[in-house]
Amino acid sequence: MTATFGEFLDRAASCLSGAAGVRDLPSSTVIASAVQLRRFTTAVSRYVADPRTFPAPAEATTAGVRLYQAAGSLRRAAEAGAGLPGPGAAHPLPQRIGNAASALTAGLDLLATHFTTGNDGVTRPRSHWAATLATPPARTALLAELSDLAVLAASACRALGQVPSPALPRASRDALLAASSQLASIPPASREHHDQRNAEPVYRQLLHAVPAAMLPPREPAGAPEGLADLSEAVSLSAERMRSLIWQPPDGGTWPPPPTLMTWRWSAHAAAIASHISEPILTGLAERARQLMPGPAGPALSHAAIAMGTSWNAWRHVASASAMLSDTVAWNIPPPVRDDLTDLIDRLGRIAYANPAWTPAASQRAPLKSPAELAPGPDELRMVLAAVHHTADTLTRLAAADLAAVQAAVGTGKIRQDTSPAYSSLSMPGRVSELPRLYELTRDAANRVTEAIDLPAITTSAPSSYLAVMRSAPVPSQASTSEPALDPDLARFRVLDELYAPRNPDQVDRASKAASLWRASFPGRPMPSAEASPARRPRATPPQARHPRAIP
Amino acid sequence: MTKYEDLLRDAMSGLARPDGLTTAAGVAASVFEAIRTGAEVYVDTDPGLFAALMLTAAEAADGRDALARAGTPRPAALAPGPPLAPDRLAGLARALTGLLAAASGRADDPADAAACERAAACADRIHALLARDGS
Repeated sequence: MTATFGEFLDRAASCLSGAAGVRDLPSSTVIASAVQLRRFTTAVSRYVADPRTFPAPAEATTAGVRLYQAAGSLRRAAEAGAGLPGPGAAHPLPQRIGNAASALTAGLDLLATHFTTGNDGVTRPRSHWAATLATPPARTALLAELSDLAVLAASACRALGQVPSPALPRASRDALLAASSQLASIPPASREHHDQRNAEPVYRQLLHAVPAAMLPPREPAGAPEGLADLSEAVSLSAERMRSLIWQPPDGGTWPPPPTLMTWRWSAHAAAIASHISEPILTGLAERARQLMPGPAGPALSHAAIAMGTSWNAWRHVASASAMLSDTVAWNIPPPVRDDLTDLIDRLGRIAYANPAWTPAASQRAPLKSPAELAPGPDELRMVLAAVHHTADTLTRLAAADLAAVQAAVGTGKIRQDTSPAYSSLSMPGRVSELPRLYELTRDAANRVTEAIDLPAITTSAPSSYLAVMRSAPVPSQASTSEPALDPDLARFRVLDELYAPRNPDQVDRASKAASLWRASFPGRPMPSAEASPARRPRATPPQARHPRAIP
Repeated sequence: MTKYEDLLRDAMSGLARPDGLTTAAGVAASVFEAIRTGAEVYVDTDPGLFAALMLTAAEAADGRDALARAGTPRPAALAPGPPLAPDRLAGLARALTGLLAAASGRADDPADAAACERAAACADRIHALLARDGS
């Protein structure tokens, strides 16, 4: 599995928590640590400086100011103690704090992979995660994570400012304690509504699960695996399929030209995956009643019934499409075929008492008993997550295939084959019925996933975040064409207008720069043209999206 | 011996005839369709075989369509027989694989050869799915 944003957050927290507990250090190491804490503060400020990651201007402004002040304090602490003899940065502590800063920088880079900014300055989604990451609750959760890290950094500053070393200059101590106060006062985003407070853990889980926006490597099913590995591998296959299925809101090509064979194979495989999932849910329902009294058991029973309807719908659409053919011959394999195969193998190994289960008749085995399926609450959550990921992905697959079927049928690219071999199978009207069958299949798949959302959340399954991901609004064509400038590009444009070599139309340039700035950062003062030359922009637009303005 | 096994045997023995390839493709397409309908009819009878039979139906449809798309050997008209029980399908698929592999070797047109190869691969996967001993 590829790295997730949560791993970077955890690494940063782990590195900082050690710094908060220091009791004594050489003064030169305190100063070296202050330098690294300033790096850390800079890394946090890069999140804060990006309006896309913040829930509201008030919090963004407050946090930005506090971070600015803290960075300044840490700079003063370092300057006041510069040149002190001793081990300095050779001590492990500054390196650990530096690792925290690096982890946060890498985390922001990871989040940035989910967006892209075109030459027109418009930021667009690059993955199926993007829409959710842009929602206010997700931004609130991100600010909460950053606020927690800032509190850890504040503790570290306070501990460093209180080391007994007499060689540590008074100015450094004062500056470190000031930085501590400034970092500790970074407010988390306000949670005005009860629902928002309740949803925060799910959104935090979502943030921790965000991978980079690239297709993770496939892991085919091979030797028998433990339950945790099986569940993890199912979620990996599901994530790969979500990535392959997703298309940007301004157009895409799903599925690629080989239409009918793609949908047909997927429909058969989806029927199998759903068919395996039904007894899993039934077993989990029974187990949940024993292990976790509450709403999860009945909700899982309801989900099992919905899953039964869903696999029948998939089977129906698979059977119907088996009697049709494309008007153009394509022989490219379905793009999600391998992943669906992996997913089916792993789901089968979760459901059946055969660790080497495959769909082959030679590997058939009895279903596991509920107690074998989920011996304890942790296993119940793992199995539920695997089924949840499966259902979520099949829902997306059904929706994507429906859109493609509608387009293909509408343009006459599917026909009822009338060649002699099929004459006895002729069933007029099937082509026109196919979109309706797919609609029913999509609706059935959607009901299953919605039915699993509740028990996933109530049992704190590691897939709970899927519920909020699906509820994120899909950006429309109209919204992507709004003049939402990428912050970096906006800054660059404004500064470029200000600092570029003067020419006769400089008045127009200044006016244009002011206009750009107001559109991009309403309410914020525009930087003056007399700013330090060190802050002048480069001659070409920045490739990185992170602003560099920090004292 | 089913009607389809007879047809496959006759098609194999007649491959060298001028119309042997066309006949073989027609027989193979019809056998694929018989396998598909058999798999669909029996898919509800044993939950433990649901996955194997669903994938069999998918592979059979793909194999049938691969032959229908070939350049010259067009499937001939054949009346479908009664649905075949799952325990007969594995053997039929193995015989089908043999016929299509032989037909691929005799095809002059690369498109025909490729179509027969694709269809043979589908038949081979059906056999692997349904063979009780896994062989």
